[in-house]
Amino acid sequence: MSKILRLRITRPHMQTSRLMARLQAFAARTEEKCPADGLTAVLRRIDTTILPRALTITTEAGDSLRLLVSNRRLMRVEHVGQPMSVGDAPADPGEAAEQFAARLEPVLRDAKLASIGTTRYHSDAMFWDVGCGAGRLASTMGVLTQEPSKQPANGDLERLLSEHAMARAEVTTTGQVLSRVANPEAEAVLTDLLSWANDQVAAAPALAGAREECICLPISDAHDAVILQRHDGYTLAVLSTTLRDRIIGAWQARLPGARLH
Amino acid sequence: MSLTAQLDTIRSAMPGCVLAAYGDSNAKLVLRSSADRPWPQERLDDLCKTASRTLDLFDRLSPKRRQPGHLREAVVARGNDVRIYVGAPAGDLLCCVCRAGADTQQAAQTVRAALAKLMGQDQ
Repeated sequence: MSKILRLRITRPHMQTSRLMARLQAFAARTEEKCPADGLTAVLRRIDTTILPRALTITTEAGDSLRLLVSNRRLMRVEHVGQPMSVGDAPADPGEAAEQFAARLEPVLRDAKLASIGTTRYHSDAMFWDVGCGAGRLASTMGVLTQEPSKQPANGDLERLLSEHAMARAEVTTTGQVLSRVANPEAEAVLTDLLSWANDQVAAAPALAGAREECICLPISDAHDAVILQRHDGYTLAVLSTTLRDRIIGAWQARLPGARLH
Repeated sequence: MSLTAQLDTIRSAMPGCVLAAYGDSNAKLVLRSSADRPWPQERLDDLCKTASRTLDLFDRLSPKRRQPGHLREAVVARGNDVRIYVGAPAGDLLCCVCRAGADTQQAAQTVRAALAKLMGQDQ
């Protein structure tokens, strides 16, 4: 169920620059693409903002939220005019997403019109925050990810993997191996893939599986090592290269209707 | 033909290709690009860094293919696009971003041939 929130792009209040103008133009194009779903536009803004920015969303009722975004992650959500509670820094992206969703939903639930402004922002404190990606926030808010029509696509992906994978393993973002099956000739590649997944978890546990991606690496002329990276873990597999486009198609079909670039 | 013109040619040869970029995976910088709309430099450099990281994973999984002159390759699908990364051992890198539904094997072949040609011109 997606929420409807129309947005009007406003000029930045200060520090207008060519880069800002580009961001505004980009945002305007984004709005044209999805004029009916403002929340999607906000999520997309999060997913495309690299440099530290404060997105200020103001509803017609006068409520105002400030979203601090950096490196494609939402770092903080502040209700403008209300004091921030102290000592509630989220420990992981899941907790951050729940905390942010709890702040966003009461304000955006009934909003029919809002404006969004962008200003530069910098705070050293932000770099210590875990934050969360737009995809995880969308999942937590229950938007865009609960489309029943997408369920069969999940089935397609599962069927392709179960029928054709020479090797397959399921790993959580904590590094726990839930299942592992491999033909002898693909065993070594699966071991390497598992080792890579463990390294991801060890290097940045909070970021493991942060971005949903399907990575295909041609390990021979006939086979790909495939990594399906989800918010909740990894599917690692070895498949025929001829199946690559079908796997990618099934993978993309299971993602939310509004693509988060 | 200039590098930019060659990138234009690569993009026009691949249906649904919205960006073709040439970069250096050692410096992790995109040096030239051809796109259907402007891409901010920080996004291009982020693309180059991601490509470089992904190709490092290719090396890790395919040690037998890491031979002199052999190109490294990866295909990464996201929500609405497919990215093809092909890298040369010296660090030359071609990244192409295509819309969903691209024929990745055909696209990868085009990118491999293009990078091989670019490298041949370098020598």
